[in-house]
Amino acid sequence: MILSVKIRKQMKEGLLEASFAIPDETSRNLSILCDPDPRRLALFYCIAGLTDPDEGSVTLQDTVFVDTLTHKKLPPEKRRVGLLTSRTALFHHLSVQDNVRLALQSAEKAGLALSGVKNPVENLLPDVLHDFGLDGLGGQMPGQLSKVQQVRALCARMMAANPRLVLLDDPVAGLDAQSQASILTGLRTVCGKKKIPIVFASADAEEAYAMSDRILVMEDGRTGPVQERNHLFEKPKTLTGALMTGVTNVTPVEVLSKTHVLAPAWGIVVCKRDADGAFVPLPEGICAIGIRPEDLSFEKPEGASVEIPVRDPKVEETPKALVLSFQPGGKESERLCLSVPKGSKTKEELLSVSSVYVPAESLLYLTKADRS
Amino acid sequence: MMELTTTLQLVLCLVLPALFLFPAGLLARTAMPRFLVLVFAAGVFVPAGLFFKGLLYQGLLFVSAFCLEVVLLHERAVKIPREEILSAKTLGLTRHEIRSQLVYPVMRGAYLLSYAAALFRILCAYDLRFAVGVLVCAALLFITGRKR
Repeated sequence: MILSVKIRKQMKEGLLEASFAIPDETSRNLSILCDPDPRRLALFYCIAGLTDPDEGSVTLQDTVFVDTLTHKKLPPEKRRVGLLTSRTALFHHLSVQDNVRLALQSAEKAGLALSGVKNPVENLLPDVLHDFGLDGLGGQMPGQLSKVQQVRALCARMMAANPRLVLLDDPVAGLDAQSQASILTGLRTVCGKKKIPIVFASADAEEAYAMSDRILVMEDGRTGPVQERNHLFEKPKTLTGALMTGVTNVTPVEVLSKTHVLAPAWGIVVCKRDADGAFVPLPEGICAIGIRPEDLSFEKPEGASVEIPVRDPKVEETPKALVLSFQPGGKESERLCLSVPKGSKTKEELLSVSSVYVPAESLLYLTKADRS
Repeated sequence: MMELTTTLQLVLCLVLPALFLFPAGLLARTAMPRFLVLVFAAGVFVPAGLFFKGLLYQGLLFVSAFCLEVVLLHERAVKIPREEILSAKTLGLTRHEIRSQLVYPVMRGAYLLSYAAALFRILCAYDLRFAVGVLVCAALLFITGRKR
């Protein structure tokens, strides 16, 4: 077991309840998909030792960081957990190279093998700065750096301390997309080389997808199960998971029976059948159904499908596609959207569509929270 | 009401504000709620003058000097963001290293200036020199503590 976290903490904002693990070397990274929430940061603080959980334990490899049962608690400076959040700051009275040097000295004092060379701090300093694109900026004070350079310097400082685990709480928030991607890629590469596990938290599904092949969704302070990223993106089980992974067509449902639900806003009744055509019970606690825009089609697909009437259609043009939106349940209902690549259909053709279809197996049955 | 001798008074004036520096520094470095800062700021102006030359007068002046030290040191301490301290912990810096690398470089000079301001408070309790002295100390504290 690389990392095991099982903690509870009562906070002003509500209960933080986290239970997850990075079991083995096959996938050292884990993404947490979660809206900005103080409990997300509190989770990282509990792992890093900056705050204590009310109960539970955190273990990294063979080291118990905290265990409320056995009253074990390792101070943060001995955990060697690199933590980077959008609020982490450089030491403002030190230059960039002094910030990094301090981290290198700390690693050296802790007896961590930095390299086989003589005077490793001074020898490694230029390399660390170079790894994060800070060549020529070592002498600058934090106030003289741009936001992107500051984040790069923070990354360099964190990695210079030779952490055993890296926790990233959306550290690139507010940066342009290109810088975000390059910084996260850089971190992933450096951590990959040193075999350092990363736990990355963000509300951005694409970033979470890029950082790890395993993702968990955190909802209302509680973590759901760790899922394979493609599975989560294709078949989210929870409403939050669906919304965070880009399912735009979502509507609440009323449960009619164990096998049937009504989506009043779309004016359709939905059920699930097995291969023999028999009704299959819907998931317990179902609260909504969802359809990915790409799963809607104009032609009736083979096999079981749901037909959705197109009422009050509108077409909007984007650089690469035409987006058809319509209200299946009439004027008062929620709009459904699907987009088609430009050139495949004209605006007029889209406006004349009377109904669209979704394969039954593509319908997403969403529950409020997944505790499995 | 018994009056203190001049020598003893002078010794107390020099020694007590120095002794106050340690607890004042500790208080100032904690994340003090804003209302507590206001309480200490108000404490600088305790009406010691009402008990002219009495023991209580001396005592209140010392209380006032302590409040002044807390307020001035707090002004400097808030320049050390909590996030920097937390970062330092995750980088593996011990408490001693955090003090020597982060706190002292920022607090350097602040103790001396707070001590000077407290002395002005006690020695020139209610005259213009006190006001000028404290203003000069506060200005120096602000200038020397500016973020680079």
